[in-house]
Amino acid sequence: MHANPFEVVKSVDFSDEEINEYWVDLAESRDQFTEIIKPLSPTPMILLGGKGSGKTHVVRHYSYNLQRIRNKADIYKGVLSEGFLGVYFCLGGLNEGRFKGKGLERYQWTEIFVYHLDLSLAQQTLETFDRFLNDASLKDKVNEVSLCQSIASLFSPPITTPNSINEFITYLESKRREIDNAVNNCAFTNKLNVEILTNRGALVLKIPEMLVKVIPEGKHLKLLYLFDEIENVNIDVQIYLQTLIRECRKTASSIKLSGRLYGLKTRETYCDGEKNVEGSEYETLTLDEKLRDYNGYDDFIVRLCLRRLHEQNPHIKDKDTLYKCFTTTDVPTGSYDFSAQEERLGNHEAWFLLGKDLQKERRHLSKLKRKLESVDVSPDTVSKIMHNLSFHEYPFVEKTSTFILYKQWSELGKSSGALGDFLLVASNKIAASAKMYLEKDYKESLHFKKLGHFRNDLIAQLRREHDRKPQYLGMNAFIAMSCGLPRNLLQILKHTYAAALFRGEKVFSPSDPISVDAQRAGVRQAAQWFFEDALIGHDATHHLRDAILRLAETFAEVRFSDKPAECSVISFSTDESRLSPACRETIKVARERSLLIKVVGGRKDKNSRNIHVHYQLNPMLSPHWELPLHRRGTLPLDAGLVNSIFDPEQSGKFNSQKMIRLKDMYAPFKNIKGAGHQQLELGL
Amino acid sequence: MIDYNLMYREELPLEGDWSYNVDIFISAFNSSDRVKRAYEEINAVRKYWWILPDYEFEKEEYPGGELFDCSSYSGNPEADVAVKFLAEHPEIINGDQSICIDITGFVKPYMMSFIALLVLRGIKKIDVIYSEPQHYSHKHNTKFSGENLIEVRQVAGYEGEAHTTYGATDALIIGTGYDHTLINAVAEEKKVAKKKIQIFGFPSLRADMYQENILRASKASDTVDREFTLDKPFNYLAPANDPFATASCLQEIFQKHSESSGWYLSPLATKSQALGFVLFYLNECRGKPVSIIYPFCKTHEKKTSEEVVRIWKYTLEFPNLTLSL
Repeated sequence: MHANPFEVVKSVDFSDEEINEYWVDLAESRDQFTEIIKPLSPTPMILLGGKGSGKTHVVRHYSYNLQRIRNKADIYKGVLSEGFLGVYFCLGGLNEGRFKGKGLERYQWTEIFVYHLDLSLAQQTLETFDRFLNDASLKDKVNEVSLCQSIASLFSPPITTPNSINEFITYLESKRREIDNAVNNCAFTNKLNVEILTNRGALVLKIPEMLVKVIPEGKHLKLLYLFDEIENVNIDVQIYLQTLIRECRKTASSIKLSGRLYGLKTRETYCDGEKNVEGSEYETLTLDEKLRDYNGYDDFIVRLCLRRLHEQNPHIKDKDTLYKCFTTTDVPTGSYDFSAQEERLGNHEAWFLLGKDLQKERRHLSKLKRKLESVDVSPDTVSKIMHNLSFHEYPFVEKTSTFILYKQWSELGKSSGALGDFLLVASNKIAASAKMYLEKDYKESLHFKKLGHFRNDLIAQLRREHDRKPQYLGMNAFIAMSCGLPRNLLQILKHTYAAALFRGEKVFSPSDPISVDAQRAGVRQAAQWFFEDALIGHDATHHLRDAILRLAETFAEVRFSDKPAECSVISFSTDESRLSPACRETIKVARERSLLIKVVGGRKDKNSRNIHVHYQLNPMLSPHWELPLHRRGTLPLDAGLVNSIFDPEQSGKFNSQKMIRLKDMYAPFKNIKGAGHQQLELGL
Repeated sequence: MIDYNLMYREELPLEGDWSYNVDIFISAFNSSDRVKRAYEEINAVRKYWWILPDYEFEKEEYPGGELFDCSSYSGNPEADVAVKFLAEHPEIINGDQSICIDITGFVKPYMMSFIALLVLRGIKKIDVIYSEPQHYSHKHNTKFSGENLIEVRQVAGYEGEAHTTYGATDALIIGTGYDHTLINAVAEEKKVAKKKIQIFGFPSLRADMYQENILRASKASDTVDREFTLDKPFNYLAPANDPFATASCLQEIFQKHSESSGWYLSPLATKSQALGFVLFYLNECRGKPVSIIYPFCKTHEKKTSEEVVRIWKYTLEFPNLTLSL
């Protein structure tokens, strides 16, 4: 049975060997991750990222377990050359939830948990160090008794000094166990007797100096603390971590904190209540933002896929071969090669949707005719308009003509008496433009100008009108959907692979590409997974889900309207100052869960010239609502509508607010007499 | 090694006299017929209704009889409730009184912590009643808890020693139930656990419940990283109504995966399966890096099932256990 090369999508499920095997750097020819992670920098770093951005994979790459794999030949030289000894520490494993309630005050628990954390970290550090000494055959070069004495001096009252690093590890473990027993029993006794034997942070900050001193030629080495899953500790513990950040710069340690976008809860410290300042005490790297903005993201993620495929599909060595493994269109062309002009005119889509004889009903024309008749344009005028716009041989051009007519209709401010005449004149000009679009000066035509922006939307509309699903096929689409979160792509490929196997297809065979059906099934499952996974662990799941549903519905109704206000709408802008607190909170949570992406720089409002915030829906959700994958136009939304989308208390106003916004996009448009009382035909 | 299959269970009649007498009977009130019926049928010297905060009952909905009203508790109350109850009724653990708990209406953490506390206070034998439903109210779409998850954390009394901080050799065992959102929450919380093992209830309480269970669990397959197949070593079956078979199943899993250095156990299926987790933990896991974790929600549905088809009495025994606080 085939093993799915994309089965494992989380790096926590990888062994250390697999982390190493599947490591792919940003740039092919240089150590670019090291340039951005900066393990030797004295400035601590907080590495944040959405689920699936690759944080844990990156952070584990710098742990000692991985150093020893990549420096198998000579670990001692390798560590000296890299300049650090990585100590990876997963904060989630401490099960912080035990350290609360049970009749004790919060500050008491914080003291005990921090002590427990210090002991755990010291134990982990010594275990790592001891492993290094063994691997590098340095055990007999280190005076362990003296080292242990130095470490023991950090305890007060004094302890019986262990004689070796292993003994010290055992001692620390026993102290941790004592705390665990006391904490566990406290649930039933409401009493807790724990003696704290070290000053807060002493073990963490002072042990590194003691360790690097005993390593031959190691005095410039850094001990690199890699704290992962900071979102799993509460704000009080994070104050402690911020304090460590502030204090570690003058020590032999370097600190990287890693966690989810919502993981950072405070910048406060225990240093007289001072707050750490980004750019001064630490720097921040948001990994998925970095990946989205990275010009080489596509190449990086392709190399990631090739690495996964390497063992089972060694013949897939490059991007081109990989891309050929997927059918990229559901339009069957057979052996016919469409010319560039035929492609421009949309003949391949037209034949697919309407049959090669193009005899199927032109639903875009039927709809337009109904709408003209509904505003009392005379039958004779309707007939002439329809005649002007009809272009039997080129349905896509015809569709574009109807779009242009809607656009012109919406800009009209006259009464219905003059409407028919106006539209007739407009249809004459549109007919001329359509003819020009077929000729060699097609770039001068109105059709060319409009299609430059709205082509994808019009194709999507045409597909929907003829009951065809949208594409979302092939590696380009999958990469766009991943949107800076590599796990999204891995999920799509995992489910597509499974779907293809289920259908009895060959997988990853350029001569027999994966079918449209299998890809659609894979994309559908991955999109569903993404939405549900993003909602896990949030205590107002249904509010967040409903908000995203309302937003996506709004985008869909714009895209499939008669006259979309913007092209390829998957983002909106708004005046943040006018949003309710609950609305802002929901948007914040949606961002933290990667359901929304904040577009850096905002968007300048056309009227006020103020900068409005700009958010994009994550394209992994696009397949649910047949939305585009790439952001182009931005839909300005007023605060009333945004509040009704994101503020649960105002959601009752959503339908009416949405209708107000969409009125300008559905014929007969707002300026037409009587339009305000008409039920809008939303054309879905 | 303990043979849990030697422990005693019997089926109580749906109609007629149970021929069973007990000194202390404790039940958690909810709106299910199963719960009310057992309370009425049982012959006990003293009967207690626990009013749990999760059900959010109004005072006018309270039943008659001796009430232990813990509806005002909040935070992590499962241990507080147990401690308070024994503080108010010390006679329960002093002397040689027989104790019977109907777990049917209990929200699992309360049941688990209470049993742990009884055992820690020296109780060697506890009878437990569990009534099986004809079906759940909305079949595989039945919701048991509210959508407002508070947190996933250790259950008081089952917190265990510290796990290896790396977590890379930890294993997570989920007793897979109907609610895939809770399975997702638990698997996500302990995503660091390298192995994720599921125990499915088979035979299920009713024949169609097995398929319903699989349907729901499949929605969590991406988080658990495991499609459901009957291939071991990651998917196991244990009868949904047999805590002893569940405890034996856990024993088997621990033996097969003995290289794991730490364990998280999460009973999300039936209460009788959860009882199996309790039995196994108290007998074999105290003082080790093993903990029971649970997704705590703000509220719980008052009624999730219809009718009663079977009533079981299990006898939990801890004759050789010497635990203490």
